[in-house]
Amino acid sequence: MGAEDNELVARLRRREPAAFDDVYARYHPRIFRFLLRLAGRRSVAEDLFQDTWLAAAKHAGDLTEETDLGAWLFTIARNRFRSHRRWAFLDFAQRERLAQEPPDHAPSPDHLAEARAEAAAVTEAFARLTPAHREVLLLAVVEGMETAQVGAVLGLKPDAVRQRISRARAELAAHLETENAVNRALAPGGLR
Amino acid sequence: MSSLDNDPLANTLARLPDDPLPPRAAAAVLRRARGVLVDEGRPTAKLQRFWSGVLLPAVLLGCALFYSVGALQTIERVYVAAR
Repeated sequence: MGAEDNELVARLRRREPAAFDDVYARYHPRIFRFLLRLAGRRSVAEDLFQDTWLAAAKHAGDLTEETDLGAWLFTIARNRFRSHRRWAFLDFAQRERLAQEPPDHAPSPDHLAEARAEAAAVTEAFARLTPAHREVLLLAVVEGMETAQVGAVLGLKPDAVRQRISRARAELAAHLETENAVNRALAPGGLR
Repeated sequence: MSSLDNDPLANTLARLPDDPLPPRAAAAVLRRARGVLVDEGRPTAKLQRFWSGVLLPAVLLGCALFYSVGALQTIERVYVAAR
């Protein structure tokens, strides 16, 4: 954690609105990106994003001097996502609706057929990962967090984080391979 | 930085779409969160939390218990003691 973050934590503990603005300016794009990629749906990500920052504002005074600001914020975001998933699981009507809807970023079959874009394949493969694997890859690879920080967010020991990253990589590689095979088959001249 | 720098997987995941929140929506969230920050900083906020988190549930639980005991005693008087 940087000295700048330490200072922000100290100011947040005093509930300085200006400190909160600084934290927001620094972290809100990352938190939104994390939630969007984790949830796969923009409307859900927007709701969770707001919940995350309201919770951060509410509990800012409870921070300790040792709090890792980034890990704290990502932990709140992740907990909001987990809570959302639990409630969504109990909401049968929503489950049915979501099961029929593709994720916002899922490319259409036409798009797949004509573009064969790697980005589309990555998005599709990533959306097929389990939430536990999505979150560990987002934190460790996309956000570039240290293993200890990822462990703090996920409540895991460093060894368990490394193991989960390794499994997530293998799962993503398998899905990517499948996506690429589908794209090759759908490409002009494929499956002949 | 992460030990995963220069990792092909990082390059792969960098291709995931990045669709940022519009500035107006981001500003609206900040405004609401700031409101919460200021409200929670008021001296009465702790008292309110204590009331809604501890005192009120305790009062409601006490009332429910009192009602249940009274109801059981009434049932006992009507059906058991009358025999």
